[in-house]
Amino acid sequence: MHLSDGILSVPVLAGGGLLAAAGVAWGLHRLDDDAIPRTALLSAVFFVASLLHLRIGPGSVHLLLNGLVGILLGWTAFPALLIGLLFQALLAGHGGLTVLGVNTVIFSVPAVTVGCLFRRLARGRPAAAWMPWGAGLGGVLAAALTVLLGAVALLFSGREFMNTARALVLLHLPVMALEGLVTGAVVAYLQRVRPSVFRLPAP
Amino acid sequence: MLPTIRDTAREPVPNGSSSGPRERIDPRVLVLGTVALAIVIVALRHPGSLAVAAILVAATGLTMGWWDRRTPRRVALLNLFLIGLFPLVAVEIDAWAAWRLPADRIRFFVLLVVRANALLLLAQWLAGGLDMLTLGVALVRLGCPAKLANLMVLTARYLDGLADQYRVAMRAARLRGWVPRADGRTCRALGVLLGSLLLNSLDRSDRILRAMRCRGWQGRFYSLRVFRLTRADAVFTTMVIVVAGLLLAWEAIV
Repeated sequence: MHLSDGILSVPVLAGGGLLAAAGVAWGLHRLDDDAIPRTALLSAVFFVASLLHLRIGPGSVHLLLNGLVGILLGWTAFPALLIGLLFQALLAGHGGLTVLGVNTVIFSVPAVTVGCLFRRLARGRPAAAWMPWGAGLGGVLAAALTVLLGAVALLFSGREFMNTARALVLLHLPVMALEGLVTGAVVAYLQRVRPSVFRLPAP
Repeated sequence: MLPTIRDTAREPVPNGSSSGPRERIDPRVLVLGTVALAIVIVALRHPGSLAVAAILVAATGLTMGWWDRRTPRRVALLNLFLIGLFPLVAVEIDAWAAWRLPADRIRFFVLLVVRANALLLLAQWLAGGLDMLTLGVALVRLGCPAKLANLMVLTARYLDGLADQYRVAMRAARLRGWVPRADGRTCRALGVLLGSLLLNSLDRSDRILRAMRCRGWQGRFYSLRVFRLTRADAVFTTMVIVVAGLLLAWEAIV
């Protein structure tokens, strides 16, 4: 899902960079010193999750998991995902340096949206049975928003990308379903083993 | 209190512990040079100037030892992806389902291919020229917000351990005959795998925080690295400025 270097137009890159800078600044403002080790480790988990490829037919896909990061981190998902995406660009070759801002926006805006919705519903109700289902829907929503934002970034970069944007959305339909299933399964496991993880602060 | 990375030693350590070609350039200069050239390459609109930029970036990376064994594989994967993009970007299909290859679309696709390759090879300057901890220290010296740099340094510090933990879990699962597929069983197994990885990470982050507090951590990290500008940095900076200027001049003339 990462958009690659060299594809997007200069205005889209600049706009994405500015939006990402604003989001990261707000996320850092909300980040306590004591929460830095936890956020860094979740950033590392986000990076590691991208190493996992699942076979679909002749090809394979890798998970995004930005919905899960948003649920666990809220607004601080912005800096966490920026760092995760920077490492993915430099160490795994996913994405790129000039598209870092745009990729941060298309991953973080859905993450924060899902995180805020989930935290509002979860506050004060750690053992709720709806949580895995809610997280699953959140995973689908985050993946769908990520793909839609990626398609919008392509369309703003030129009419030549109309077919690419359509293909991007179609090819990621199975990824959306997988994201929902995996996010729901992770939250179900965490709720069973350590429900205190979901005593979440306000987003 | 805002966390910062600061030096505890006055004696300079020359940009790293060894003195191979990749350590000769000051990390701050390398970051600034890479960002400046990336901006120039994104702005280029002529296939010739883009091709020259790609060749120069590749030659510099090779000469300075910034390519590693992953670089050719990444270039191959990128170009496979771009080949897959060709029918979507360059081919035009009209209302009667007849397809054609307009010249402007071909030119657009060629520009896209050359620019994407140039930028990938440029990213190798940072990926191969710096380790992530050094990059974090260099960014904070360049004025990057201290919290963000701390987040990056800590992520880099714990990435290897976490990736090892993940590989061990995956190897154990594969030895039991598990193959990750797009089905419900795989998703449940992944839920347990990623959930336990997350729980271990959360527990570990609590231990790290307590250990750091026991050592007197007050939101600050200490780095022994002292970066010092050398003649190699002056040569590198001059080269980047000259190349960027010539490429932009080419664009203006052609």
